[in-house]
Amino acid sequence: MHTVKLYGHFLIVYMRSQLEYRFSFFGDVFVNMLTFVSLYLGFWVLFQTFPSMDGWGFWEVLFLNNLNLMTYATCSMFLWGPMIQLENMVRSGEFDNFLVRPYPPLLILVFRQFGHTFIGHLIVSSCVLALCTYQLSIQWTVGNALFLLFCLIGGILIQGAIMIATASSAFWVVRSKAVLEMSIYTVRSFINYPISIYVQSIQLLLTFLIPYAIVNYYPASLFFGKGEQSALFYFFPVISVAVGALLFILACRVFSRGVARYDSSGS
Amino acid sequence: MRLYGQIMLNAVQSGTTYRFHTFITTANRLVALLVQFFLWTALYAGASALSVPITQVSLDEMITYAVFSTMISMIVANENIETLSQKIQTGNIVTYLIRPIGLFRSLLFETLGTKAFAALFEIIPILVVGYLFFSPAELPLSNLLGFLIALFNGFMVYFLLTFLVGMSSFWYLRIFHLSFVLTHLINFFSGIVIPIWFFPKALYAVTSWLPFDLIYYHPLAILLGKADVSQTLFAFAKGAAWIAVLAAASAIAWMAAKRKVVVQGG
Repeated sequence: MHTVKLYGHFLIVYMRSQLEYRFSFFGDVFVNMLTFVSLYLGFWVLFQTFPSMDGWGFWEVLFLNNLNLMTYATCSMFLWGPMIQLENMVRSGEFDNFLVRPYPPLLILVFRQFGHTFIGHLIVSSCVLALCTYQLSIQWTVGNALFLLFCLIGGILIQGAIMIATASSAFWVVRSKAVLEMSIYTVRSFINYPISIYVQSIQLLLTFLIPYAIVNYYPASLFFGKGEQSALFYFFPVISVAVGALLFILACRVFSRGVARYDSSGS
Repeated sequence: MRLYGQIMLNAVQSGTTYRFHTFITTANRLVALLVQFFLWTALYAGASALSVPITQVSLDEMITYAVFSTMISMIVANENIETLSQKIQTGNIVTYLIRPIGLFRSLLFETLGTKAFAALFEIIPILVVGYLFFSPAELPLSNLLGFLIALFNGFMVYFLLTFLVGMSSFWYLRIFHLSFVLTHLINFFSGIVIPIWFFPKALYAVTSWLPFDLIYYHPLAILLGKADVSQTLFAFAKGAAWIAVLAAASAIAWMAAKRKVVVQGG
């Protein structure tokens, strides 16, 4: 409870400082919306010519992408900024600041800033989800709404875990930013499309090693009843949240290990 | 001439010191190429399963398109936006005012220098991997000259566009807004992933009025033999016209900027 209250305070201060420059603030949000507008327009163009993407239609592919976008944006609001800056903080020794506070370093690091730019992502993804509901005539029931909710929670945890774990490499290698960017941009781009288009080794990699497929492919295919494993429909949300929670705890462990290893920059 | 040679040499040397960066960039591009390979394979399989004919281009040609698009992205890449915005915001831009050669030419030759390095460690590996694993279509050598001319145009158009965005740092501080907009315009309109021949008519018309397809689409269409003589000549003319317009805009921007620079102390 105390943590939530503290974060609330940090958030208010952050928002005040950002809204000082209102034009920039809305510019940040707007510009970030473009990322997905250009991606989704690309899909639209492809589906003008090609009838299907491995059995998936246009709106299904959009729904698939949307799961990725929603979970990525939600965890990025809290984690993207701090994690991308970790390399510089460790290299310059600025990270020392976090060790002398009466609070866990990871929390302080996260509290200090908030990714308001990702509000743009959330606006786009909410609109697209509404559009998908309409176009695919999805009938919302308690069952599938809960299914989606738990899969989103699991997805957020998985994305967050991958972000924290790869950013923690800052404590071991110098150029952790490139490693982080590779995992959250390049590797994540695999799940822009249904992973069934790849060879099996890549599918296994995305399921077990870097489980991005649990974020969107499996939930979406169960949601649309693709494949025959419909009994999984009830188990999967549990699996997703469990895997997410486990990975998130592991990632925090990796981070703490890194902090223990950190011995400032000298000078 | 020796001066330009030296600038290029410096860029080559700094390239060799950022080996990790080079390695990561190449790895990222290879993954992106891999994703495209599977994407097109799946799309073509889906079309043939439902017996929808894809008349514009075959799968082999599309994979060739992807391999060479990756290569072009390495050739045209530059650091104009980062360099300029950083120099402008810190005030280091003044060092360009006391150099014997202009800002534009220094940046251009710096970029060309990095290309010499990139050719060895980025471009050749991509082509080797592309040809070993993805078996692209055979290319007629007769298109090579047209391709190189279009590629030069594309390089210059991209260089000028990024130069202009970089220069806008003089007036607009959140430069990443503009650089984001440029990136996404290019991602969609340049044919970097999706060739313009798949665009619906109305979008095709919009695209032909924009400069972005000069960077990827036109060189690749010429290379693959998808552009006839009149289309090739149109691409050259369009390239020349846009280069002239953008170069004029850059010159005006630099003149206006010089008036804005205030040198304090001394």
